Amino acid sequence: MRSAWRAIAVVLLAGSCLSAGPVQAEASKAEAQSVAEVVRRQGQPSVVWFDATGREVWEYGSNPFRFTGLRFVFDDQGRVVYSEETRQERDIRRIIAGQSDRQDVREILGEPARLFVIRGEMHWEWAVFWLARIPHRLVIQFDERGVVKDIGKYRLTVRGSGVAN
Amino acid sequence: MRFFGSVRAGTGACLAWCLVCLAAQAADAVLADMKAVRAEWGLPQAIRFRDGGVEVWEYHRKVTRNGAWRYAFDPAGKVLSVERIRTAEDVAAIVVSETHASEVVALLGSPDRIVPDGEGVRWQFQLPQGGTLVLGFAAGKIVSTKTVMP
Repeated sequence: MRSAWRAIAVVLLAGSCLSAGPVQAEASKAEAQSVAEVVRRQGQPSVVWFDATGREVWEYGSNPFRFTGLRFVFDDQGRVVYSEETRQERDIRRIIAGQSDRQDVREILGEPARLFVIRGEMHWEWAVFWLARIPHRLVIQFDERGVVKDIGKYRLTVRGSGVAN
Repeated sequence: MRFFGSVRAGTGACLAWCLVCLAAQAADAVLADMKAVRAEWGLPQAIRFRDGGVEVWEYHRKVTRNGAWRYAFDPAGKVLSVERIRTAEDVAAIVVSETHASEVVALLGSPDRIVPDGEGVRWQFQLPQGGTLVLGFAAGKIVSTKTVMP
């Protein structure tokens, strides 16, 4: 009986979390209209770049304690034309071992929060929500050609306690 | 006696030359690939990609100590080029009422700080040669003001 209630709770939680991403992105799109308002609301972006069409793109999210990323695209007048929350489960599922390369990963997930080399192979790491918004570390391992070799998701726990951080 | 003196001087010169060669090799080794750059410089402040899968890493947070650098890597992670950014020439290349914000990013990298200024913003760049470059933008993202603060 207890497990049934737990299953219902997990389903409800998952449903609410799945709807949270787009709603939040729409809210930030509606409220943060000018480039100055985006700075006032969100702080300093992690990186500023220009896409292939010449539009200015701001990304938030290389902070290792931030579980989602934000991406704002501005027009020539400095007004937000598009914003989205990145590093969602749907984004992580787009990365395929053996097919995606570092450029794909950078485009989908944004810049890594951590970058390290283990036994000669490059690893990029982010903090993400996975499986109904449970905090996880996402570690992507690349081979020597820069193609994804392995995608690891590790639950963030306090060592020895098994309690989610 | 003079013979031994010249041998000693020759040996010293050879040793010095070997040390120079070793130092040069060490410097090359440091810049050889992505792993070495990561080990030397840490997490890059910006990662971008150019055509052909060229990966570009920018370092500009430690500008006061080591300068600001841009490394380009091939898909296998080998260093293709290393260039110093935010030099005096880069700053001079930014012309008020002409330079677009995308050209600024190409020259100086991502700004260190963005400050709201009315409805617009000002970009701040820490310069390796000292001071902070502050750029304001007019409509169309063209540089409207350029100031170097001490």
